[in-house]
Amino acid sequence: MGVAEDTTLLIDTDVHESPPQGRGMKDLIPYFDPHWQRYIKGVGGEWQGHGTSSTYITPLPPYGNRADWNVNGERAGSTVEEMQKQLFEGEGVSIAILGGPNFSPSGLVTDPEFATALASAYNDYEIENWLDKDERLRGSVHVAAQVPEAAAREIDRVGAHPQIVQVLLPLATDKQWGDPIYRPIWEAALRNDLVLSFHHTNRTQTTLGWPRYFIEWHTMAAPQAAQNQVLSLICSGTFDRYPELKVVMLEGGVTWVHWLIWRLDQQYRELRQNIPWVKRLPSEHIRDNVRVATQPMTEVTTSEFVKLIEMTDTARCYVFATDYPHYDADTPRNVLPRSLPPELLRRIRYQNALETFPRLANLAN
Amino acid sequence: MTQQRVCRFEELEVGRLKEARIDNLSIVLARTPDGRVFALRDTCPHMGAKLSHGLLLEAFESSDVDDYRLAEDRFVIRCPWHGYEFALEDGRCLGDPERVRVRAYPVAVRDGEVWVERA
Repeated sequence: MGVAEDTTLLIDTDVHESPPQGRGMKDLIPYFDPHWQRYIKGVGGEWQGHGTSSTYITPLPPYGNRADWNVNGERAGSTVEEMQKQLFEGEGVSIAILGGPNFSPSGLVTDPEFATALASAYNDYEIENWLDKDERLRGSVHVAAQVPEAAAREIDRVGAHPQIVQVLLPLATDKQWGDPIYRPIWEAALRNDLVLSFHHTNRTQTTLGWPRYFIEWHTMAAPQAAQNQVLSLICSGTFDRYPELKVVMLEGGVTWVHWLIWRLDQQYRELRQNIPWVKRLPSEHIRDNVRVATQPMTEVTTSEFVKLIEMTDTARCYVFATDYPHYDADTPRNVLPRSLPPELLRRIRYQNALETFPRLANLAN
Repeated sequence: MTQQRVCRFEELEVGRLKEARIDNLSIVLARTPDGRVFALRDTCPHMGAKLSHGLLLEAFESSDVDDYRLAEDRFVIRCPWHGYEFALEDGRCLGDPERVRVRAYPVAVRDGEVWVERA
């Protein structure tokens, strides 16, 4: 796609801030209660870390970031000042929604009380060190969804912050997201005017497990998981029960949506009796409730992309994302060319996000 | 509009489908446990299967996950090929009622005879 400059509002739905000291979470120590601080410090017990199931050789060390964004060897995305320079000034982003460093308390398989405390500490860290420092930043509530009632309380605790716009959850969990056990979280999100956003972590596998090489995992894990979770949410009647609920699938690519619409509508016509609580065609739920972040944008021509959207009536489904500061971040001047139809360009740059995130609606003025 | 006699009421078994014809038109007849009789065109609009080879079943009523109540007064024909379900009352496909529909014909039972009206 060609090069173009555009100065209208640009909302970036997938931005990663990172605590400077990394995944050991020592930056969070002041935000934990004293008894949990001990296990981060390694005094009187020690948290063994997030654990990692992914051991792949990745292409751009250190940190997997775009190399030119790691200034002087510092981790990109670890200071507000660098983010302001690189994302707001460099890429022309107007509003950036922070999703954290791809850690997820929901993915911790042990110590659910600690996972809950980790989420709370991170939320307080995020507010004080990021959101309070730049009004263009928006944030996420991190939760330990394996303890749904506690997760709901955490959403109520920090959800009132005016710059919080979403609840962030991992793409893969032991129980798929359609499971009714998660309803307290959905209800908390709704009463706080928040959307649910889903992002992969290093625990997200493909449907066949861990493939041999990073290229295989990076091709397949996120889009497969995104489809599975959208499928789960729809088939368990989530959007029939909560028609106002919006979900955003981050960093899984864009073109799986069309295939899923075709496949799932076909299956619903044949197998509706299997899920009689679902009252609408799945494609209608997708158009009304599911949003997909554009990064990584499929590298097709503008006309091919437009045809896909027209074939599936999905112009409302896409929200823009860079995935700053990761090595495969999309830059708006490449993926949002002026050759796109103006209405579609406007929708992807900001309009769809304004209609999706209740907390962003005031930006329309 | 004309009504044509297609069979005797007693020829219809409760819970079973019966193939019949009006001139050159194939229809499927269904008798429900409460004694009502319905007629639909005997061709699935999906792939052309004969609905009379399918199943006559109670429709599901449901308001939430794990709620599989069988309706007492609503019945469907489930297509033998892919499982599309059509409501007896209006021929609408339960999975896509706005876009997929099979023609339904008014039925009358008089003096033990089943009459179908073809528009």
